[in-house]
Amino acid sequence: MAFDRKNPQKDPLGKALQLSSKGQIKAATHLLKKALLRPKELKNPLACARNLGFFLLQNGKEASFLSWIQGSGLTWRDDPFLLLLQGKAFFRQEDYKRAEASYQKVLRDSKARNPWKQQAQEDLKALLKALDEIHQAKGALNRARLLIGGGTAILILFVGISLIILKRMERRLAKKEFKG
Amino acid sequence: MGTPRKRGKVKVTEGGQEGGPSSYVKHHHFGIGGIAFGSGFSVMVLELAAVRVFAPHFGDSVPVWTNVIGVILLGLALGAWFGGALADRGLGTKILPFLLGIAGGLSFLVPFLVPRIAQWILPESLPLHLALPVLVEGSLGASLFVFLPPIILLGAVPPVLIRMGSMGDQKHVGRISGTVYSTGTLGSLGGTFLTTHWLIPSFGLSTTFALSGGILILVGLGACLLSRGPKIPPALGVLVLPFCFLAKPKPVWLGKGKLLAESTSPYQELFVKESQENGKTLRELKINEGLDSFHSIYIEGTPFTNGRYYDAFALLPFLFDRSKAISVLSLGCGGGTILRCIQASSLQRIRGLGVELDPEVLKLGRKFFHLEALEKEGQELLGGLDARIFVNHAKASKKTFDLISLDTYRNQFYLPAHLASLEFFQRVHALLNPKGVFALNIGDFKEDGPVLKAVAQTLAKVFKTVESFRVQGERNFLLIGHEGKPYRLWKQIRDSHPPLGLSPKLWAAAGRDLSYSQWEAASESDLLRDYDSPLLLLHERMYERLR
Repeated sequence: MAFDRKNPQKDPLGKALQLSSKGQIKAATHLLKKALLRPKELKNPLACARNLGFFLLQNGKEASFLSWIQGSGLTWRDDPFLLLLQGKAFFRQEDYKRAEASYQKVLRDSKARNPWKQQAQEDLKALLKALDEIHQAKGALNRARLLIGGGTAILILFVGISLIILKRMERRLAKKEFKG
Repeated sequence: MGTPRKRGKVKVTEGGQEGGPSSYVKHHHFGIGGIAFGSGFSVMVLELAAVRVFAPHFGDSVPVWTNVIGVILLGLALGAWFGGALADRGLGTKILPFLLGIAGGLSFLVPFLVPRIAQWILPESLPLHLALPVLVEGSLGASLFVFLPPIILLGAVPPVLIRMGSMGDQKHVGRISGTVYSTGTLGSLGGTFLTTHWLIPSFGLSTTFALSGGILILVGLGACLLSRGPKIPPALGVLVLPFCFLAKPKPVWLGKGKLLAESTSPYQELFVKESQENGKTLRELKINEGLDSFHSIYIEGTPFTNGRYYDAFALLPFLFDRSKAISVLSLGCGGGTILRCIQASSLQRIRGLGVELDPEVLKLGRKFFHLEALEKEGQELLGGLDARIFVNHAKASKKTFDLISLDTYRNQFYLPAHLASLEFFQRVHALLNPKGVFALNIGDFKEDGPVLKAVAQTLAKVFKTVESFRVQGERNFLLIGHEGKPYRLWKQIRDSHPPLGLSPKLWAAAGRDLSYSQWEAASESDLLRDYDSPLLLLHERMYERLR
């Protein structure tokens, strides 16, 4: 990630990193977003994009990150680090299918660094766990509904059988009275 | 109750016509009233204890209460129809002891059945964000299965009794109906008060259900005497009594942890779980259904909680002059986790006051969460007080605070509406010193989540500045209201050093401005008010993700 530290005005990434070290992430992301509107003028646009993505995700701005990356055309879509961040953003937003697709892309990408692949693998494991929890919760809901259905069926059966028995008894009583 | 007229034997037929050849039935109004009283008593014991027996598995939230009350009413309606039909066919007197005996037996079975049904429905790991529909529908299913049958039988009792009492005495049907309904309602009244205030807190749930079943069997035997029937059938219900006291299965959330304590308070079911985290002993206070949630936490050897949302409260002393003492009010102090975090991160002296609704929570806090250490250091604890009641009356004592914290979640899911309304926030504001801060724990999944938005925008109507801080990796936000400038906390944290032992991750996040969101007041119509609060609905909208 090369940037011109001596001249931060011309180096948005350097300025952004300076700001971030002071905790001013809002200003840093604003600066990077603005700079990335003209990527050709940047020395290292990919590093800017990666840092922007990192800042947004680090502070729980998944929606903001996704709207930025999806609005940035095809420029950054295949970068493994941004794909990893995209996977995390989708995961946090509970869009598990898209999260899985993003992680799989990172794993398939031969250029992706090992730590990113490792991270994608770990995230995939967590995703599978989350999916399993959903599966278990759905199973529990189905069992609860089975119980409600069973209870209602027994209730209907009870009313039905009671009606039949009571009708028969009524007929018997009527016969007795008639004989009497 | 008793009427001065006929108290002797009346010769009636099975069909209820005088002068018939079959059995002689003693029609004591006293006896009829006693049976109505006993069955009315048991209906209410079953209803109120139903919610408590569900609480450790499905919670005792408003939807669970609704399900239980709905099923009980359905049972009573069906039972009344069924009982009326039986009575008209002359079967009332014969069948009454059976109805009561079987209902008694089913009552004995409740503490055996409910945990096992819950264990069948609920998976071992049920995260909070997926749980609500399962809990609501699970409690409905379990209510239908466990409580509907005995309630149908008990619902059949009043029409049968009226028929019994009016056999051969058609002129006084009104008086007999009155006796049945008034004694039944008085029994229900007794069941209502005794269950909540005496039976459950003093004897526990199993004994309460046993008592309810026992009373039904006794009145069943009484009905045998009235109808001169065999005494054995209702007494057979006693055979299932041992089921009432069989050991319960472990709570599903216990996993590899150890259950240190289990307690029933007038408010809820309480559990203390102990497990290991990074080689340290971790204690959690779990309430009712528990799930993956907890109400207080204590980690051996540290006042902090390893980056959990409680640690966010440890950031708050940085908002004040570090050389002066600050007064802290902790509403919903539980086992004292928040007070401990605040105290540990303060250089200044803390004068703390913790308010907790359930005194039993304080008892467990003293025993398992080192709450006594806080008391020894001069912090005061008040049990048995609702946070709203305390705030309403604290103004009169002219006591004010620098920092007020609120963490009063009920049933893991719900922030009570009376503790998140405009009126409540105004009262809290009046209790704060001019530079005071009000901090709340709000559970939500997103920054624009419905609950966080509604509470924050209502709070912003009262405080000049309202900001939220997202606790990373948790479903919690720290919401703060004060009269200072925005980003007050961030600026203080940025220029300070972290307290020893506080999660570095949490500290780093608090030092980044993007971790905070600022909130503006909502329009008048969208404010949460005491008598107009959609908070319950917003919580359900947030959690009902599985549907």
